Amino acid sequence: MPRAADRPAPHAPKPGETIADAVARFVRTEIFEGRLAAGQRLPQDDIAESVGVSRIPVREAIIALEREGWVRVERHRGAFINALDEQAVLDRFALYGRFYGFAARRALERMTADERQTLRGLALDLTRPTGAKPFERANSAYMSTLVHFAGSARLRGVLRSTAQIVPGNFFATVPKGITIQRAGIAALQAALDADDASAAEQICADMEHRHALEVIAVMHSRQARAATAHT
Amino acid sequence: MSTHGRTLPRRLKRESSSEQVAEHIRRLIMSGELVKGERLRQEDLAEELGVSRIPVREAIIALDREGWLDFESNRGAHVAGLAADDIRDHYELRGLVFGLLARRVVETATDEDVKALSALAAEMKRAPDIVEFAVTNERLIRQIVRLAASPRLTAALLVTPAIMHHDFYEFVPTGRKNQEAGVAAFMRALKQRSADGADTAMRTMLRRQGQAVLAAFTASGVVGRE
Repeated sequence: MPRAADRPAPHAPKPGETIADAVARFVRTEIFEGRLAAGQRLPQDDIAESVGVSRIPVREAIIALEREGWVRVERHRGAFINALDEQAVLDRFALYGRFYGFAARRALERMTADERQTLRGLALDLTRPTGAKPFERANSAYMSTLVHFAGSARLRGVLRSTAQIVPGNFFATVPKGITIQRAGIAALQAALDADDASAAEQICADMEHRHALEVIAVMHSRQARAATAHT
Repeated sequence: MSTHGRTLPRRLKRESSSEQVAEHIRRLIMSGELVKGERLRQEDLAEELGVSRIPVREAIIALDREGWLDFESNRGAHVAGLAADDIRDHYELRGLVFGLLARRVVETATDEDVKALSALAAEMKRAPDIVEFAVTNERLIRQIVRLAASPRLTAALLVTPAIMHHDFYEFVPTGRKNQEAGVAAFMRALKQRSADGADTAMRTMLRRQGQAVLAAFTASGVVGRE
């Protein structure tokens, strides 16, 4: 694994992140980019050194990563990388689809008229931007508001642990993601306007499944590139 | 209890001290000794349990991920609390995860696997008491998780853990009946190779268990005392 000095990417915690969060982010990227492989033991000392921290935040990061499915912990033996294969991506996005479908159903039960209006406005904002960055901003405003209006502390807890497979800005890494998400949210908002929770659930599931297929395509090309770099 | 992801990994590996601390904090919340919004005193807990601050901090991170606590590095850890909606939502979410696991089992199970699961389900039904019932049920669920062979879905069970681990069937009188009906419906769907049916069976079972848990918590006063 490259040392911190070799890498321009800053591993320092971003605002609102703990040191352990930054370590977890670093490990996810290493796995996604194919630099840490399935079955390999997580090199805790190397990671600590790369990020420039002690072993303690690395151990803390492992607890979060285990709950997100990136690693499995075997006592006295360490943490081992789980395969990030097609099935893993499909499963992860299937979970997302269900959790957001749940958010839509609960939001329909719990939203006030004003909140419905707010969400409608945010859906409209999503029809405009074309760049990855503004689209990501508009999308996360819509999704986080939907989750907020669902009014479920449990859902928020679960989503916090359903960390994204794609590090950084999803729409920058997965270009077709914008088209999929834009169409998906338009359909979702129409289902919400029609008070149709079952349709909303199905739309979320379909949308996330489409994302999964795109992510698999991107991952294959990245891992091929990493494999070439190693040889 | 039952579809009880949490107990599965714990049996496979011995509990670490941070897991023991986490279990202790869960019990404090469930028994109402820690109430919603209360700040967790990490030093006191460490001293009380005779451990260092490190496993306490690790337990807090795990419980934050599981939704029992809200942890922010600058504010400390606060109890998220158990309200009626939390319990309903929790089991609903757990059902969504188990539904996906059930789908995978329909895709992957061989006829031999189905036969083995059937035998376990029959054994569970014959169990003379709730202790044996719980043990057999746990074996059955562990087998389902194994057949699904999905690290991501298995990890999702860690963040939607059973609210109660021990004594579930004593605490929840209708628990056994719900579980048996749910497993029977799942087995029927599995034999017909119906992914939709298996999914629905699991979701329905977990929703019913959530209602039963809520009724039990309401009766004992843990819920609705704020």
